[in-house]
Amino acid sequence: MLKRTIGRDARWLRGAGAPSSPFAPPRGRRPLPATGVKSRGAFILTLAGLALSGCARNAPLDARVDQLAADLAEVEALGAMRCAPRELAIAQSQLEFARLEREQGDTARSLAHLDVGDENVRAAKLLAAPALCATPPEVTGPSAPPPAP
Amino acid sequence: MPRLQVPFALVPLLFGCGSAVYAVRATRASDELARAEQLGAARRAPYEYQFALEHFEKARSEALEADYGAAIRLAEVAREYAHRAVLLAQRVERADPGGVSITP
Repeated sequence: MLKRTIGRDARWLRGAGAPSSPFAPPRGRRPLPATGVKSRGAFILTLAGLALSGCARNAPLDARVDQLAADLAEVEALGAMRCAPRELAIAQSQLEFARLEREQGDTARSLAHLDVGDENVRAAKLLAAPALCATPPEVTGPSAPPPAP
Repeated sequence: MPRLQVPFALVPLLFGCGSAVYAVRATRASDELARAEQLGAARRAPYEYQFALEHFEKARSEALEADYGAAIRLAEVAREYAHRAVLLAQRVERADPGGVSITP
């Protein structure tokens, strides 16, 4: 059946048995059904929806990225640069990679980077805890004036 | 027609450029990382060294997927941080020679 159809189309393309009008459909083929206004509208709406969904941002992923950034800021303030530099470097790198993958539209990879980042932030938080990461005595200049009696 | 053929002929060359540029940047980053490692940067400049290492690994992974734009940028960051690690390790070594043991 398929072979026969192809053969007929090929003959038509070669000019053998071509229809009288150049715009007329080949013989034996039914014309396409006319699309109504309703179905055309639905088609356009579907296309628009698809286009918008492509542009839409992944809210849960964005929330996780923001959360990791906030956690990183917190551990940095705790002194992670001094007490957990390795973990901090890994977490910061993973956050950057997660953002890169998000831009490229690879949500799964972005999430994988966020997982590694989260683990390292947790480790940095432990290492930078005040009990483990005491601030070294600050060297000050001239002694402060004695408190007033 | 020949006018059109020239830009089309350049397209494969442009695609080839990405990998060549990446190869150069990755080699530089790798050399700088090796230098940092020799100077004990893993202990003397852990943040910079680890940051460089992470970026180098990611650059390689992006290059494997033929995303040379990202790979080149990441390799450049890796080289920059490896260089910082080298400088910091040298400074620490000068300030306190033998203060940090270098792992083999």
